[in-house]
Amino acid sequence: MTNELLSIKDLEVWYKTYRGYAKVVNGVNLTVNKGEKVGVVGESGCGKTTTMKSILRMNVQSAYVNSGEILYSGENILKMNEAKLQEIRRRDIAMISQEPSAALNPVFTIGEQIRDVIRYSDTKKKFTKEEMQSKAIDAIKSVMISDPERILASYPYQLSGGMKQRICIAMGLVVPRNVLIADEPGTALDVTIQDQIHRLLHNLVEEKDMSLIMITHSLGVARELVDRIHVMYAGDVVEVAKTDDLFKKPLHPYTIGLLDCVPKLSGGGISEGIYGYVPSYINPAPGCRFASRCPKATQICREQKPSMTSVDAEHSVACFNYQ
Amino acid sequence: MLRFLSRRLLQGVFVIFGLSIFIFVISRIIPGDPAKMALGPRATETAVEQLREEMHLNDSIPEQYYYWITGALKGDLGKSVNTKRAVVEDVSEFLPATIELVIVSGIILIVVSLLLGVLAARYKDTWIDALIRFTAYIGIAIPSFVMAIIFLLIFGLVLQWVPVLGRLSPGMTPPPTVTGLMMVDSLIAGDMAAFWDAFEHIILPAISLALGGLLQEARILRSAISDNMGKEYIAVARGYGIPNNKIMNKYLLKPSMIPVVSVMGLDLASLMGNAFLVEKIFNWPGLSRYGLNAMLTKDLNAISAVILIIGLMFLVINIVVDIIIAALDPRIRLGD
Amino acid sequence: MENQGRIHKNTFMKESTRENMRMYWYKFSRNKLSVLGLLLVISSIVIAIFAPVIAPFPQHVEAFVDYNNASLAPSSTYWFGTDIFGRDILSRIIFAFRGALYMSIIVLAIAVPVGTLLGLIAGYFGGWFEVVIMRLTDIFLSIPAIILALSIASVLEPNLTSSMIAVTVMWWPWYTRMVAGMAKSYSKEYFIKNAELIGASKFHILFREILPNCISPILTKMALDVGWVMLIGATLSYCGLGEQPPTPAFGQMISDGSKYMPDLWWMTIYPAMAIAYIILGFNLLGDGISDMFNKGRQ
Repeated sequence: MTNELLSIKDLEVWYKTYRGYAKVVNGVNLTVNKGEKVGVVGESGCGKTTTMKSILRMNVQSAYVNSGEILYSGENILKMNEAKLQEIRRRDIAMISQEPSAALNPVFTIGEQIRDVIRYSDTKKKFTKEEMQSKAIDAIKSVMISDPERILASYPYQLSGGMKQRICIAMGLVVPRNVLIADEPGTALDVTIQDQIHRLLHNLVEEKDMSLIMITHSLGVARELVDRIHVMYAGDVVEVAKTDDLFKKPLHPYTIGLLDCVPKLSGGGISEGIYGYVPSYINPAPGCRFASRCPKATQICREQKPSMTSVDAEHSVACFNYQ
Repeated sequence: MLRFLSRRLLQGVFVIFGLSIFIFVISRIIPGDPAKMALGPRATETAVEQLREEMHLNDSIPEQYYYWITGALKGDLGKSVNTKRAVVEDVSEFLPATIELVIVSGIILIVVSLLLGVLAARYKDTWIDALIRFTAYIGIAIPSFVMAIIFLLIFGLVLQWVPVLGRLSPGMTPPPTVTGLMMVDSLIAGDMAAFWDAFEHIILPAISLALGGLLQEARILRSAISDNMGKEYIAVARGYGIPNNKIMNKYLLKPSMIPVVSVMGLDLASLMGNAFLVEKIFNWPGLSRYGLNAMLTKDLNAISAVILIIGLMFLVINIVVDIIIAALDPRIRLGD
Repeated sequence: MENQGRIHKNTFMKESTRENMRMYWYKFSRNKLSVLGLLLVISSIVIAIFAPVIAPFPQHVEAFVDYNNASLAPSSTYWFGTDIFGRDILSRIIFAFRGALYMSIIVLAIAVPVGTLLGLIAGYFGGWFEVVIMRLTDIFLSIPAIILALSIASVLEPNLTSSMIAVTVMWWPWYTRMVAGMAKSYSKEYFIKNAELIGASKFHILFREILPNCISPILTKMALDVGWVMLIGATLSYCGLGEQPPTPAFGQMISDGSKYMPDLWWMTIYPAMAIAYIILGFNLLGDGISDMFNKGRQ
């Protein structure tokens, strides 16, 4: 594992609420290798976004990291001083937000915002206005937008959702980086545009030899884009495997349930889905968080939390059925 | 932008027209005979009748309005019962003092409220923030006339830091009138002593006038900034490593200014309302003191004129504020 | 079975109501200042209601004269001192709470329903209703509230009723403007379109569909406005246009007292503190209510 670039170890993130602490991220482990494309798949609200935002310490104030570490090139981001962290934010890792409309400042032009990202990407170097403009134009062109000058002079509200999503990607890629985190890109858009965005992202990452962390709620999307998948359920990573392995031999009952939801060409109608709801994060029951919905749950599942066990070199699962 | 402005102006003209009808109605619902009141109790029957004819009081209400509004458009708002002069003459004498007070007060309000608001947001949840918020609450709860009395007492009478009554000290020769604004005129005349004296006279009334609105705006700015602090675009800017003070002064401040400026517009405009009391307390020879006297003595022509002038000033301030908001908010500037 | 289901549903409802209350209280009380505001407001109301019982010298609120005890500084008998007629300032302040609250309640009880109704009509029906009503509010909002109130109060007889009329006349347009804006945006939404499609009456749409959605901003504004109405009332009374002597009112007491500043400071300072107390209370309460209804960031 020498080419391990980013790894999250036993991360716990809690939110402060009026009823107590919501333990939204419950000891997540995740690794990304150099040039690898990793997927994080799970239902809405399972803690995917919170986990990812912790990497750049972008979470809201009411969320705080209770324990764990996030190592980037061997250094713990969570313990890093401000200056070092800023370096990483400016040059190494970028996160593309889930909601492109909310991610862009409404009172500044697109150009203004992209230029600031360029300006601070290298504080030792003074970029001229022309340099920044041409970099911004290149970035906009790279996400397949024609007429970049006009777009750079526009305000966010003047653009469509698809446009804004592309701009957010352009903003993330305008500075060459090692890791790109994409949080459900295109979720708010219709399927054809979403598909275009996914392709675009895939090609750009391949082209620039970056690592990608792709957050999505759809195993189908993950299958097309990533090499390895982490399945998350209610704040836990429940299964990690190479994409092909996961589809061939899913182990965790939740993964199996999710796979049933992926529409198949040869399938017989709509699947049954997974019965029940995601449990409460405030004072959750001990044991496996999936137990209440799990068809194979036994007594021990309700009492103890299963640990991650390797079934082979690249495939591990957190379930008592495989221990 | 131009279309937005012209629409705004047209609306303003309409509002002033409506206001004139409203003022007219108020001035005519008053119980008693305005002619009799104007001449006093010992006036003869014929004199009253003659004045009634002169004031068109024997005509129908719409006709009376017609005479009044055409007169107003020609710059004739009738005579004041108190001063026995044309109301327009009185207004032009007293208006500059009020304008000067409102301008100085407005400058204090804008500068200090932004400063305090940003300070409170920047040092959110520290003692600085707590102090500013606490002062704001107290300041908002104390009526401006009480504030004026307390200021007058502490700084004027007890500490005697500044002179408290009028626009200039009694021995001081006022500079030749050019703009009517004492401080500007003394600068034009190059009379620094008069300028300083005028400044000392205006500072206390201006602060007491500005204080309530100022604290209110500081609070709104603070809460707008802290609301926007949770917005995704701020998290994103932070995620790209934009320096903290840049986020504060640019990414946060500009969107947070929009709600402040719109409330500030209302407050700047209502400075003229509160000036009524502050002028009374500091014996400031302005339009508001004149207006208040007119109200207490039911001097109808003077009341109508004062309300109309203030309505006009209010309108001008609001249009200026709309222009500033349009400059801040592209959605308004460019039109949806 | 059906019966069981119903019982289940009822307990569920109760549970969720209690849960809601708990959430509202959490949001309200998270800011300790809101709780302080609530205490100030409750105490003001109690003082106003039980004024004759609480006031040490209830007879001093009338045309009472006792020159032997005139202009006394605060003491154990007269906690807030006495005025130039020998009347107990504390007792007069306690009764002034009554007038101030009474005025706010009457003014808002008239201005809020009128303003809201006009706002609903203008916002939902649009067209000429909107043009006429909104232009009318523009006119009322075109000069500072205090000047409008002063001018109306000045042409009427100077008393509490006149000042209430004056303040009411200038207060409704704020509600009209606010509610019209909300009603207009709601009228374009699906839940209103749906109600129209299934043939709900205009009455139902206005009062059962749109109005409930406007309630929280209206309540927030009302709590803040109680304070503002008192402030304007005090200003009018300071100018001699409100409650007339001997009935006590804050503005009039401050105005009388300020003639004897700084020697008889208690004649001015205590009434000023009293009005600041009550206005502060309603302002803090208003902020708390606004936090309470504020969605997100639980």
